[in-house]
Amino acid sequence: MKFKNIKIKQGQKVIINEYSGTIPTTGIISVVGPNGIGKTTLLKALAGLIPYEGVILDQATLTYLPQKNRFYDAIKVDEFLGLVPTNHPQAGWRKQVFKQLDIADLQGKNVNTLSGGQQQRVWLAFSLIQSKSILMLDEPLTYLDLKYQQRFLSLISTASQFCTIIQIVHDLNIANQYSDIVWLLTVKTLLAGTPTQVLTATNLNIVFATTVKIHRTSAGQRWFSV
Amino acid sequence: MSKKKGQYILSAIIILVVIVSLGIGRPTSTILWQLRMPRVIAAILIGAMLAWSALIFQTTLRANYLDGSMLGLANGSEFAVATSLVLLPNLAPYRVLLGAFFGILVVSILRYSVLSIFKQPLLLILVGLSLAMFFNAATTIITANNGFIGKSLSTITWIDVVSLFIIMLIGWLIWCWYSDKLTYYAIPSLQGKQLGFNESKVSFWLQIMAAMWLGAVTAIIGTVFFVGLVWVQIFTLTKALSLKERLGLTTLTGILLTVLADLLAHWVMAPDELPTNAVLLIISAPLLIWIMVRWRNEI
Ligand SMILES: Nc1ncnc2c1ncn2[C@@H]1O[C@H](COP(=O)(O)OP(=O)(O)OP(=O)(O)O)[C@@H](O)[C@H]1O
Ligand SMILES: [Mg+2]
Repeated sequence: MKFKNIKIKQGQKVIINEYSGTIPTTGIISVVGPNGIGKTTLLKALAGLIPYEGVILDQATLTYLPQKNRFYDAIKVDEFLGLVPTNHPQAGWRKQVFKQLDIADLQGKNVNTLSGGQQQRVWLAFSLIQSKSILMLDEPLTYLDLKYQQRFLSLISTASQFCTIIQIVHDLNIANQYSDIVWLLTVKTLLAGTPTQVLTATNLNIVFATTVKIHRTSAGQRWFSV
Repeated sequence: MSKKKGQYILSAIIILVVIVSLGIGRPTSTILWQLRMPRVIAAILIGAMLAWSALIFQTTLRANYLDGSMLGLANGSEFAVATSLVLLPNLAPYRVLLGAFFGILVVSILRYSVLSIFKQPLLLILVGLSLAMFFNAATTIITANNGFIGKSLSTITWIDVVSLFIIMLIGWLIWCWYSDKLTYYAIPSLQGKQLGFNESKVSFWLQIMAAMWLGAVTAIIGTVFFVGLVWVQIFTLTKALSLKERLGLTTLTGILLTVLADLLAHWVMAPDELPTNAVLLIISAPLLIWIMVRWRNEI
C-alpha cells in the first residue's frame, strides 16, 4: 500500500502536511512522535476513517484498533472474540494469540468486569486474530504489565512475517528494538527509515525538545534515556 | 436473585394479576369475552412490545437512556393516526395497523434526518424531545373538538387485538432474522464494520420493527413517555446482564406493569375509566426514582 501527499486539516489547522510513504507487505512499522503531533490522525486517515486530501494506492485490507476502546453491553469475552471469523490463513495463529495473552483465564467473564489491562489483552487478541494485511494498533502497550508487553511484542514479531503491523509507541527502546521501519512524525514531515536511520540523537532532540541520550550495551545495541 | 428466579416471580405475579383482571366482580360471559379478554390480551402484547421497542432503540443507537417516545416517534405516529381518524373516521377499527404504518414512516424519516445528523446520545435525546413536544401539542390541537378518544384500553376491540397480534408477528419475524447480530452492538461501530458487519442495514430493519410496534401500541394507549426507558434501566444498572439476558426480564416487567395499570385504570374510579397511559406512568415513575436512588448509591 502507498500513500501520496496526504493532507489533513482539523478546522483551519493543518495537522498532516502532504506526507507520502510506502507500507510493505510484511514487517513492523513503529510510529513515533510527541503528543498531539498527528500520529493517531495519520493512521485514521490511512484506515479511511477520516477525510483527507491526497491519494492512497493499492488499498490493503486492514483493521484499526483505537487508543481507547469501550464496550456498550455486558457481553462475555468468548462471545466478543467469537465475532472474529475463525478463517485465519495461518493455522494455529488464533490459538497462539489466546495462549500468549492468557485469554483462557478470562473466558466466560463479562467484559465490563475486567481490569484495564485485561480489557486491553482482549482487545489486542481481537485485532491480532483478524486476517487482514495490515494491523494498525494505536498505543497497544497501554495498560499492559511487563510480562504482557513482552508477550505482545513477541506476538507481533511473529505476525510481522505474514502481515504488516503499524503501531504507535512512545517507548523509543521498543521502537528501536522491535521495528523494521520507524515513522518519526515532526511538525513538518514524516521521517521514515530503519530505526538506526531515523532514531538519531539530532532528530530526537529536535522532535521531542528534550535531550535524549543514546547509549550502547556491551553487545553493541543502542538504547535511549532522557 | 438469579435471572431465572426473577423471571419466575414476575411470571407468577403476571398470572395473578391476569386472573384478578378477568375474574374480579364475577363478570357475565359476554363481558368476559367481549370486554375483559381482549383487554388483558392487548395489555400483555402492549407491555411486551413497548419494552422490546425501547431495548431495540437503545441497542441499535448505542444510547442507554433512550426510548421511542424520547425520539418523538410515539408522538409523531400518534399525531398521524389522530389526523387520519379526524379526516377519515371510518378507519377507526384499523387504528392499530395505521399506527404501525405511521411508526414505520416516522422512523424512516428520522433515519434520514435526525438519526443521521445527531449521533451523540445527548443531542439525540434533546432533539427527540423537541419533536415529541411538537407532535404532542399538534395532536392536542387537532383532536381538541373531535371527541377523539384513544389512550385507554377500555376502547379495545377484537379487531385491535388481532391487528396487534399480526404486527407483533411481523416484528417477531424481523427479530428472528437479525437477533443473532445483536452482539455487534456491544462493540464500537468501527470494529463491527471492520469485521464486515452491515450495521446500517441491520439497524434499519430492527428500528423498523421497533417503530412499527411502538406505533401500533401508541394507536391504542397514546404516547407513554419514558416507560420503555425506565423498564430497561431496572436491569441495565447492574451491568452484569447482557442484552439477551435482560430481554426476558424487561419484557416481563413491561407486561406486568401494563396489565396492572389496566386493572387499576378499570377499578380505581369505577365506573369511570382512567387513561391507561397515565396510570402506566404513575406506577412507573416511582420506579424511576428508585433507580435514581440506586444510582446515587452506586456513584
Ligand atoms: N476531533 C478533533 N477536533 C479538533 N482537533 C483534533 C481532533 N482530533 C485531533 N485533533 C488535533 O489534532 C492533533 C493531532 O492529534 P492526534 O490525536 O493525531 O495526536 P497524536 O500524535 O496521536 O497524540 P498522542 O500521542 O497524544 O496520542 C492534535 O493537536 C489534536 O488537538
Ligand atoms: Mg494518539
